[in-house]
Amino acid sequence: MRRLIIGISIAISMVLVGFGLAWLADRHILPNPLFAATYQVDLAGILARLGLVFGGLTLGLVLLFWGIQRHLDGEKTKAEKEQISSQQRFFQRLDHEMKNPVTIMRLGIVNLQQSPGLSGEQRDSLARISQQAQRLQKLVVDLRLLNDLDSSSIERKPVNLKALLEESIALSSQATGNEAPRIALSIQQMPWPVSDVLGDRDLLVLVFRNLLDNALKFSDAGQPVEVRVSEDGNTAIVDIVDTGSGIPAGEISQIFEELYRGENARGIPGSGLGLKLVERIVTLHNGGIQVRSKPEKGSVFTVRLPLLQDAT
Amino acid sequence: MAKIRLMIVDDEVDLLAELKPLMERSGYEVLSAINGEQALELAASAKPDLIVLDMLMPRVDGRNVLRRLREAGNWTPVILLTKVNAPVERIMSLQEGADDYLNKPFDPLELVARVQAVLRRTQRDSMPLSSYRYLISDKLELDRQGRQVQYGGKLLNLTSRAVGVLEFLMLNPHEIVLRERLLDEVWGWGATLETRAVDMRIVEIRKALEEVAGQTTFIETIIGRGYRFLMNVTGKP
Repeated sequence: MRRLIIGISIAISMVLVGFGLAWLADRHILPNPLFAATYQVDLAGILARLGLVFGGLTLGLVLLFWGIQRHLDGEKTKAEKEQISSQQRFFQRLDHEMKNPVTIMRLGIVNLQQSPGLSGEQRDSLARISQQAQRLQKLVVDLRLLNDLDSSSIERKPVNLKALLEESIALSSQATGNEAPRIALSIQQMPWPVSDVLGDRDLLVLVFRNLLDNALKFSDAGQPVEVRVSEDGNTAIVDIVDTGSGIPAGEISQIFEELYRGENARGIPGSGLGLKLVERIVTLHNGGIQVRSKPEKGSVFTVRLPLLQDAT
Repeated sequence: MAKIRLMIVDDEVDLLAELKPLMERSGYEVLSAINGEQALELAASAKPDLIVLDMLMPRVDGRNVLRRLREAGNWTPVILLTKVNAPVERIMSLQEGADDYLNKPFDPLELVARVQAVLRRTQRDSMPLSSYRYLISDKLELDRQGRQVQYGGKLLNLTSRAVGVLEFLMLNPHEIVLRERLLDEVWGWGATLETRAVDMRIVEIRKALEEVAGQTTFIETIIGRGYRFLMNVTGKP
């Protein structure tokens, strides 16, 4: 749009310059006619026409390119939308196909568990099957959440980042057990403290909780984890830094995909949906997430969230 | 004393086959129907005490069965088995007269608990609170369609999730409601979120009540578990 306005302005100024020069020539401020001795040339007329021709050409070109650009943009968003909805439809169908079998399995397991005369071995076996069925159920529920989460389910209220991160840190540290707290939080205070962000506090806790859990999971008990908050223009930047196992370069582009589990993630519990969910929530807040990582050195996950603009 | 009679409706035969013995062991007599038409016939002829109804069925789906029952003046308590995650859809199914609902896949023992709770609740009063538009307790009035709460005519400034929490507590007065249950009901994704999210909405409700009503004695905290609405609640259409 800005390019369009600049282009039109240039075209209009060309026409104006042409007419201006013509007017000056007409008033004999510029010499007119120029070659009075041999030809009678109306310089004023020529200048005015030149201005019109070039102005018109420029305008035409600008509009043409603008039109092409708009068309291309339209195709792109259309394609993106189609891709999203076909993916959504896929997950909806998957959900639909999985919910009854999982329900029936769980019912059957309970029926077996409640039947008399089971041996200890049979009970153990049933307990294991039951656990796996519950795992499948969790997967169905998480996929559903991911699929249903759209901008209409987001609450938009001012959220204080310090309180939000302190809570997320407390929850993550609690979950990992009795080990000494090893997450350090540093928030930019000078020259001014970081402002609030606009968003859904409940979901943002989920974002940082997930990232912190990952940072703890993929590093050893003694290694520190740092959370750094700073401000860049209208954006809050939250870095979650660990010195853990890192992510191989070839995997970085895939870690935000559904159900992707990296090489280092084998043997570490997780649904394979956590980062996808994190990314979805951050995007719904008009923010972004990036990762930098070196194997055996550690990772930095950077979350950007738009700051709440002061009303004053 | 005659056994309490349940009717379970689902188009999946295997599900009926597994659900029936579970409910029978819990002490109920169980009838089953495999589609909407059969459910409507059986509801009229066998007069079950409670219906467990699957939402998604070919031809006459669960929502339709429910609507027809209610239109015919049949107020047999209904638990919908469904996939209603979006809060809007949930509100809709309760407004259409479901007494409770459970997302598939569910924990079988949770269904047994819900059946017991609904039976307990509906034996007390003739019409379930969930069939009314307004929930009233003293000067507190919650408009379930307008998603607004007033105290003595003054509007309480509440987020929609806080209204949802208060609504669910008022629909189940005097009962302990677990925080996980509220996350499930109001947010729609129970196990994924932190229970502290519920505590913060309770703080919000109490603060709004304090400001407008000057008192906060409606909701009791059951430490480490959940909350309970302490006053009597009546419904108004």
